Amino acid sequence: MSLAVKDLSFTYNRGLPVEAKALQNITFDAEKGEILSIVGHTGSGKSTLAMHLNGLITPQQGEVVIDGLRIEKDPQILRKIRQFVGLVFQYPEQQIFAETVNEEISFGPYNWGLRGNALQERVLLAMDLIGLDHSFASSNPFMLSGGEKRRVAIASVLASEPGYLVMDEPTAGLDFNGVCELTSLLRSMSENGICVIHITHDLELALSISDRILVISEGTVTAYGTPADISERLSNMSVKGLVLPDILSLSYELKKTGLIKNITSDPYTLAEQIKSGQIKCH
Amino acid sequence: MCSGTTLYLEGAEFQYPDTDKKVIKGIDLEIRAGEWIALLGPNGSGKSTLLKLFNALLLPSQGCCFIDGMDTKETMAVETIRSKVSIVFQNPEDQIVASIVEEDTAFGPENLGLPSGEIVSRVKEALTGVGLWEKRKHSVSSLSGGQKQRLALAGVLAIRPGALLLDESMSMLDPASRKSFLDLIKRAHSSGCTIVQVTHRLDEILNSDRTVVVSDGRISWQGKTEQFLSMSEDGLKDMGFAKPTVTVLKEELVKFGIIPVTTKSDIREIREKICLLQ
Repeated sequence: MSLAVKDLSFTYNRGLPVEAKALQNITFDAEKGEILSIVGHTGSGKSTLAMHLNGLITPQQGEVVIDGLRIEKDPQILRKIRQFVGLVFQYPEQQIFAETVNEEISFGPYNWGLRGNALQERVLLAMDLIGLDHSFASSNPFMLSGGEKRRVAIASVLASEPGYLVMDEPTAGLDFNGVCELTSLLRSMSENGICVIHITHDLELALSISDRILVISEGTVTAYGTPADISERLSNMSVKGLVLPDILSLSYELKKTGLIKNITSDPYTLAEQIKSGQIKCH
Repeated sequence: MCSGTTLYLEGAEFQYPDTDKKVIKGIDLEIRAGEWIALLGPNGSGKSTLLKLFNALLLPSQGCCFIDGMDTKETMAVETIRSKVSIVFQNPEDQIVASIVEEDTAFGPENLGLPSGEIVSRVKEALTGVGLWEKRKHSVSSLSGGQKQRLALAGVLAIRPGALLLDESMSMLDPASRKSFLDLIKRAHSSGCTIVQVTHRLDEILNSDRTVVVSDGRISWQGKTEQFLSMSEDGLKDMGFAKPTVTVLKEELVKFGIIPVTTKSDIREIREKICLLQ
């Protein structure tokens, strides 16, 4: 069971004077139980790619195949795809429309045909997954804080039990604790066998939580591999809008000069290494 | 050149209508003209509400708010207050009004009733500054989230406000655009503009003069930003913040006597000091 994108290209306003190529020959795959981060500068095509993954945009060229099903403009296929793939937009709190949290979260599974106790259980399960106390069920979602609204919105997508979860910049605007909670949520979802596709411009976060990373720039893939591969590649090449986290980048530089031995993203380890390297120098 | 605006809150409280919970529970705060304030706090602590009090989008339910000495409750003063105090919201969709990039940026200056030559030059300056001049004829809907965030800033810069309030305005930007966005803020600040910056990332506040932490509607900490960042990692964590890794590295290297204590929390400066030693 996997998601495969092959030679995908997409142009906005195709054929018009203002046409803009958003994606060019994108190829990658992602498997169940994996966290794949898609990283790129603002305007690199990340969100356009995300919208292809659940058929909000159907491919102009190339293909997107999910669990063997190829996305095309066929209402039956699209309905199935949307059941497989949950998409959480940038600022998901804007997806909220219902009067109570319970109503909001049950909307998805209700539309897939769930009723009665089964529906209620599904709602509570989604709330547990995202760490929302059951007492929130009767609250008005519009009166919650930004971080709480975001959790309600994510829970409403999880309630449909998608096998693939595409999240577009899920940590934008969250405080430090919110980011920690969200990243542990992504981890626990992948441990539960969900394929998490995490779209972000935050390379540091991507390097710390992903199994694999896809780097896109100007709509094309510039690097694809494990976090270690990607940081190695980025230390040797420059990609528009992306810079290695400071500590990592300094450690690559100091390793080249021979001052330190091991690449690290931890400031304490780096300082220790510099200290012992310095002692040898003198 | 703009002259900075003074923002002043006295005993301010705020409660959204039809709710029983106060969001702001008594805040006294003076922000001097030309000062750069980092306004921090967890989600839901009241930061965005505070910013809205400063440009009279909301009025305090108790206490008062003065902008350059004008009470925000004075209906006659609201127009002047809004021309002095501009907010860049977290979600750019909330403030983009036109469908073409340059028309959106011109909206503010047009409303100030400026002559057309002046509008044209301000639009050019603002769009060039945020790196969107080449996209001036494009439709706003073709821009990415990050580009829209830069467009929102351009629209505000074109007004040349005395105080610039930033509500997590860099949340959708990649590291390189964030750096150039910060440079624009620095430029506005050095021309005299008051800055109030709401963010969750402490590596973005290194340029601010003072840090104000709001939690649960009250000021829970305030002081020099330098002093705030020199708190222990655990101390900051208890308050809900992650110490910037560069600051951690600097402090460790200072502790080991490798670099001088005067070194800034800046990776370039740290690198230079280390290279000098080699």
